[in-house]
Amino acid sequence: WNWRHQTEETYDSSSEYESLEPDLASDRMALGLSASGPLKLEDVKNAYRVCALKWHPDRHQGSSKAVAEEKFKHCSAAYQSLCDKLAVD
Amino acid sequence: MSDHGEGPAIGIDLGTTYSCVAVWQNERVEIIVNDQGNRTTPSYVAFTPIERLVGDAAKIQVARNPTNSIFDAKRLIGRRFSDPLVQEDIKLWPFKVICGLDDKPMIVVNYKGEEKNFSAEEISSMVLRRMREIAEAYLGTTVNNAVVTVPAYFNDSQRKSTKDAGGIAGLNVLRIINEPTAAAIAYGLDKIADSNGKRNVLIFDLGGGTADVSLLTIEKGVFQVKAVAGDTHLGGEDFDNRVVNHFVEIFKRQHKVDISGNSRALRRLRTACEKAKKILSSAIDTTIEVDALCNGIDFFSTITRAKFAELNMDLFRKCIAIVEKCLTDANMDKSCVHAVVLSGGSSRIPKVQQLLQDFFDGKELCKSLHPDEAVAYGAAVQAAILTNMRNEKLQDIVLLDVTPLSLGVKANGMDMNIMIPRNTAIPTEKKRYYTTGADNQTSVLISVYEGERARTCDNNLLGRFKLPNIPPAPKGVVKINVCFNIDTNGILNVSAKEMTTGVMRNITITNDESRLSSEEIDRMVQDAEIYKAEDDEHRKKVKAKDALEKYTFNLRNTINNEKIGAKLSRKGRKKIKDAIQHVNEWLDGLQLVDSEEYADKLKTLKSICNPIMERIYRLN
Repeated sequence: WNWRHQTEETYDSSSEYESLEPDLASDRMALGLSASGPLKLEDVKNAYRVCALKWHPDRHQGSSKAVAEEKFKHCSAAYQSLCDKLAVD
Repeated sequence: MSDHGEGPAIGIDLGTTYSCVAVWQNERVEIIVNDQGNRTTPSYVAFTPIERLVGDAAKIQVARNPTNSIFDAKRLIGRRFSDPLVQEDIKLWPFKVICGLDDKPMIVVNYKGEEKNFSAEEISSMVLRRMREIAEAYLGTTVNNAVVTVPAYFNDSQRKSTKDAGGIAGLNVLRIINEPTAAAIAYGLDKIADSNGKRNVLIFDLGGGTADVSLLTIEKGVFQVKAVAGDTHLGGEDFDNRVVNHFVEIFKRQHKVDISGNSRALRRLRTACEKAKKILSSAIDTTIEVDALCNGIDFFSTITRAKFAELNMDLFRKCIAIVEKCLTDANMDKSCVHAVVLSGGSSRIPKVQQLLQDFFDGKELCKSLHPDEAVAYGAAVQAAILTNMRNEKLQDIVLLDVTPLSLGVKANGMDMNIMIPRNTAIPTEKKRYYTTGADNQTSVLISVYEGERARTCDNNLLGRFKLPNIPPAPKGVVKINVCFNIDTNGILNVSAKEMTTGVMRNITITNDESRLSSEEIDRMVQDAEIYKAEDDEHRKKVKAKDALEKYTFNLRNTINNEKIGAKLSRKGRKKIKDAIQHVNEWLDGLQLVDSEEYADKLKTLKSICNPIMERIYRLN
């Protein structure tokens, strides 16, 4: 990243924070799955569907909406990373 | 969104060529008919020397008034004037489009003798307001809340602009949803109860202006979009163009007259071609007839279904390529698709259906949806869900939609650094840290792009903003946290915080270049109220004039009636006749005037005639 440009436009991506090894256990917990043990793609999909019905912001009104939205985003991210992991294996 | 106030919420399919409105009522969806008895309304707005017309009335008069009749606003909305597609369209449109501030296209019309400029948002807002009025007339109550649909492949600025159009129309837009997703609800709603299994459904939505393909899995009420693909500039109108060009050539060959510069002739030919196209979905050949097309020459020709398919074959193949891309993105083999569902008027075209069926190895296509109404139907269901309607059918439905284009920032010169890949479930949020690339750098300019290319210059710039006042430090020390947030409407917000000093500075893109500012929207809302007031005033005048004409007509019938007429004195009869004559001459001699003048005339007429008539009735 030693690349230079006119000062104002310059910024580099620093990947140190995103390249952390995805924490599988916490992803599994986020979807309500057991933290360890064998895992099938079908289980992950089912767990995500249950989470979506529970936490999608459309299914909440008023003050619980914002909390639900955060939860939903968290579940989606966990689902995505577990799917990616299972696809690689 | 938390506050959706009172009253029903409607679903509006804001189409390129036609729009449709629906509402959830009495445990089911009702498609609302307009005052002409039609279930869809042309997305047309026309300006004349005396009034503004929206919908059917605007489309009917288009050949008479081509330069002031606006359609296709959806092909302009959220785009830049310099967009090559916009430039292509301008060549085909009979109305004038100029470049406004910040490369924003503006439509120029002559309204009541004055030249006026309108943005695509304003024209769309007029159509939305019309759809709202249609719903209000049907429901007998004011309607403030609506779900508005957009093509799944609409980008960020097209979505934002559509939402703004709703705001200008005075609507609280509960949600912007994707058209194929809405069609999927229409398809899946009744199938939830009787199916436990998982179904992979491909929605093929080919409308008047856009083509969309979505792949969903529907399982126990959860509609999960796996992938979307599409072309926001491919649809029935493009097929019409091909046919029009074909017949322009034929006319040239037959009569040695080129009509390509004659917008009135082109318009009349286009209307005939659109009609022929529709007929060719059921018949194998049809005729095109336009009386006195140009220089008094009547045009007559025929076209077969095969010729129509030949003229459009490359466009049809493009549609199939979109289906292929969608399946690839979803990582699904075509044999795993349980149902291929058709939506949108152009999905009726037999050749398109055949290509689609061949692609799916002869699989039967699902034609159970009404192609013109399915999207509004689904939007009405979503509106009911969002306003918390209590119904067991709606209880366990949730839509998980995705973002159609990858979103990222420019980094390291010109790389597209993707923050959110396409087909990510929404709402979503991604954070990433960036740092300065030079010593003692005091500000950072963050450029946000959408698109799939590796270099930002090939992608679409959504906006840029500057993060100032960074404390001086060696390069790579400062930490800047950039956060991308996509809400349930699929609309992006970007913020950046400088973290090193513990001081957080937060900037949000509220206003990318092509988008309207909140002041502009406020002004347009006020303008819209003015136009509405003018429309109402015009209607009032017409009503007052009508009342006067009706009174004179009745009066004349009465005095000509033998029984009553016989009782009139010669003097009284003459007095009334003269008064009627006077009013008729006055009416013939002028354009529309203020409603008060008509009311005054009516009053004077009544004051002359009523005493005479009363006397006769008293005699009875």
